[in-house]
Amino acid sequence: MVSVGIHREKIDGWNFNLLPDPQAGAELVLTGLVRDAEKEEKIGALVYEEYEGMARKELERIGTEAVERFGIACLHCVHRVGTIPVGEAAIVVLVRSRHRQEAFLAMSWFMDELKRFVPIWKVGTVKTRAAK
Amino acid sequence: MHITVKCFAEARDALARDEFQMDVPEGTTVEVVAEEIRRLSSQLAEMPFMLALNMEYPPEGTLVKEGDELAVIPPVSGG
Repeated sequence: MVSVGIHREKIDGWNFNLLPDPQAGAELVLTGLVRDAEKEEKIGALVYEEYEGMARKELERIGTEAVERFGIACLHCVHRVGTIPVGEAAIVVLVRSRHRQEAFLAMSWFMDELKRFVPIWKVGTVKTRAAK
Repeated sequence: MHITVKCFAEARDALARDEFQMDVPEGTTVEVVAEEIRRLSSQLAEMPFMLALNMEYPPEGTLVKEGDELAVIPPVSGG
């Protein structure tokens, strides 16, 4: 099972409303956070842009392929766009699988594919007051 | 045939517009459209980009059709 979403709202505390899965021995969650520097300059926030419609389709496509390729039980992903302050999540991905190994492999592959194909871009930064 | 080309991120900056229309003859492939787009800006000539066709990455040699939506996809940076 795959679910994906793209939102402008803060995604801290995102829980995918999942039911328990007694066959899953591993649940792996990756939270991608905005760091306080971009190209060695201090920043206060990153600005993300998407190709609306296609970004979601591509997330779904690679999520579905991850499930098929690695035999994981499910993959859920939410990506935030717009202005995201330092320390807040740009992405949360959750993978459940029978054993931990396929969850790690699927997560790594999914993130690599996302960074090759999903049309989402960092298009700017917001400077911190100290950096102005 | 009329097609619409959308521009994102650095490609939008290079072309100085969000989208534009192109007229292309019957039998034009996405690769030919990519070459035409590359000629529109010296910045794009140097920039690696992919072309999406109706919100999917098309197989090589795909022909464009009247009313298609293409998008210039410069290197992505999500996650």
